[in-house]
Amino acid sequence: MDKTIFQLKDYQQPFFTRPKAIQPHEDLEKLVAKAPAGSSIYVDLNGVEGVGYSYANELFGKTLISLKGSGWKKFLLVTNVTDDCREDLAQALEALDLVILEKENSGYTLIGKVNSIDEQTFQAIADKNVQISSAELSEQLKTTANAINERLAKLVEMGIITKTIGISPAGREQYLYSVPN
Amino acid sequence: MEKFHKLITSVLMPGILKLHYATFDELLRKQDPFNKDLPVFDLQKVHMITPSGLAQLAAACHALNLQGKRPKIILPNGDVRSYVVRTGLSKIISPVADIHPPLPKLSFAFFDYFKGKNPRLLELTKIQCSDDIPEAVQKIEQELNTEFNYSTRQSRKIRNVISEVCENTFDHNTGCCGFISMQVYQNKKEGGMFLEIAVADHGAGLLNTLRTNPKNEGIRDDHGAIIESLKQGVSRFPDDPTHGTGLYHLKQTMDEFGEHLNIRSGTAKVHFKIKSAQTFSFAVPAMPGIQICFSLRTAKRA
Repeated sequence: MDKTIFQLKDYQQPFFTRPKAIQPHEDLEKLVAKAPAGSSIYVDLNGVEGVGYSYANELFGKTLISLKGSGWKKFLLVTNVTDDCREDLAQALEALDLVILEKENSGYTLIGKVNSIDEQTFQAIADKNVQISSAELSEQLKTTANAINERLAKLVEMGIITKTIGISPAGREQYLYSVPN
Repeated sequence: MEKFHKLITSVLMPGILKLHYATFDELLRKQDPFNKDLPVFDLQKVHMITPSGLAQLAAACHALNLQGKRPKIILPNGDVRSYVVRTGLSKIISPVADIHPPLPKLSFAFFDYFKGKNPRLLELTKIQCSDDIPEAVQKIEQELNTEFNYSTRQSRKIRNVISEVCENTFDHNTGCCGFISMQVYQNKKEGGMFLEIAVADHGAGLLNTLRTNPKNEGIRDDHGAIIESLKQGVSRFPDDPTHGTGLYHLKQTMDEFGEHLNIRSGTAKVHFKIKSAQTFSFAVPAMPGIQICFSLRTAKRA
C-alpha cells in the first residue's frame, strides 16, 4: 500500500487548544481525501513533545471518526511518538472510544481505547506480518472460530486491521486480515 | 494564640474573613450586587483572598460591566490591599470597577515589576484566546514538578486539564473572557503544602450552553448541568462527538491528584471532597458563567 506522510511539527506550537488544531486538521483531511483507497496516512510526530486533549480531539479524533464513517477505506497511523505524546493521545482517544495505530521500527502499538483481548488479537496479526485467516488465528490463539470472528470484526471496525478477500488452500474465498502498511 | 485571635475577630467582627470559593456566595447573598444599580463588594472585613476569590471577583465585575454597571470594591487597609495589587486583581478590574479607597498611582507599575517573580503565585491572568493559556499553565506545571514532587507525566496531565478548562472560558462564550490564578499555601493542619487553582468566566454558564444541544433538553437546572457536564461526551455540539471531554478529564484527574474540586454555575455549586469521596451540592445566588476551583496535594510517586 502507498504511504502518505503528514508532518505535525510544520504547524504552530504549542500543540494545545482546539483552535490551533483547526488548520492542521483541515490539511490532514485534504491529504486523506487525495490518498488512494486502501492506503495509509502517517502523522509524523517527530518534534512534538505532547498534544493537548482538545487539540488531539480536533486533529485525530475528527479524522478517525471521518475515516470510520467512510468504512475505513484508508488508515491513519502515527510515528515518532514520544512517551509523553503517547500518554496524551491515549488519554484523549480513550475518552472518545477511539484507537490509533502507532508504527515504529520495532512493530506496532495501539494507542487509545483498547482492552487486553483486542491487544492480544491485534498483536497476533501484527507479529505474523502477512495476511492471516480467521482459521489460522483461531488455531494460534486456541479459541473458537466464533470468538475469533467477533474479535476480528471489532478490530476491523476500530480501523486497526485490514480485511481483504483471498483464496484458501482449498480454493475457496476467505477473508484475510493484516495490519495496514 | 492565633486561634484565640481568630475566634475573637469572628465574634467581634462578624463577616467574611477569607474570600474563597465557599464564602464568595455568602458575599453575593449578603451584598446582592447583581440586583443593585450601584453594586458594591464590601471587603472591609476580609483578611485573605484566595485564587478562587480573585477569579470570581474579576468575573463578577466583568459580568456587571456587561450589564452597564460599574461596581465598587471596598478594601480594608493592610495586607489585602497590597495582595490585590500583587496578584493583579486591581489591574485586571480597573477598566470595569473602582477600588475604594483608591490605590496609589504607582500600584500598576509595582505589579508590572514584580509580576512572574514569585514561583508560588500565578497572578490573575485574563484569558481571551488560545495564546493566553500556555504561559499560565507552564508556570503551574513547573511548580508541580519542583515543589510538589509531580513527575513530568503527572504534571502534564494536570497541565492538559487546566488548558481545557481555560479554553472553555472563551470557546463556549462570545464577548466574554476567563480568568486564572494559582497560589501555593502551607497546610498548617496536616503539614506540607497545597496549591489552589481557580478558573472563572462570566459567560453563558453550563445550563444555557448545554441546552443549545437538543440532546440535552432533559437537563432541568444548573445543578443538573454541572453533573451532566462531567460525563463523557456531553456538550453543546449535537453532531460532533469530539467535544464534551474537558470537564470529564478534569474530574478524572482530580480524582487522582486533587484535594477538592468546586464547580459553580448559575444558581448551583457542587463541591467534591476527593479524599473522603464526598459530594456536596448547594443552591447559590445567581451569577453568570462558570467558576471552577481545585486544590492539589503533593504527589506520591509510583
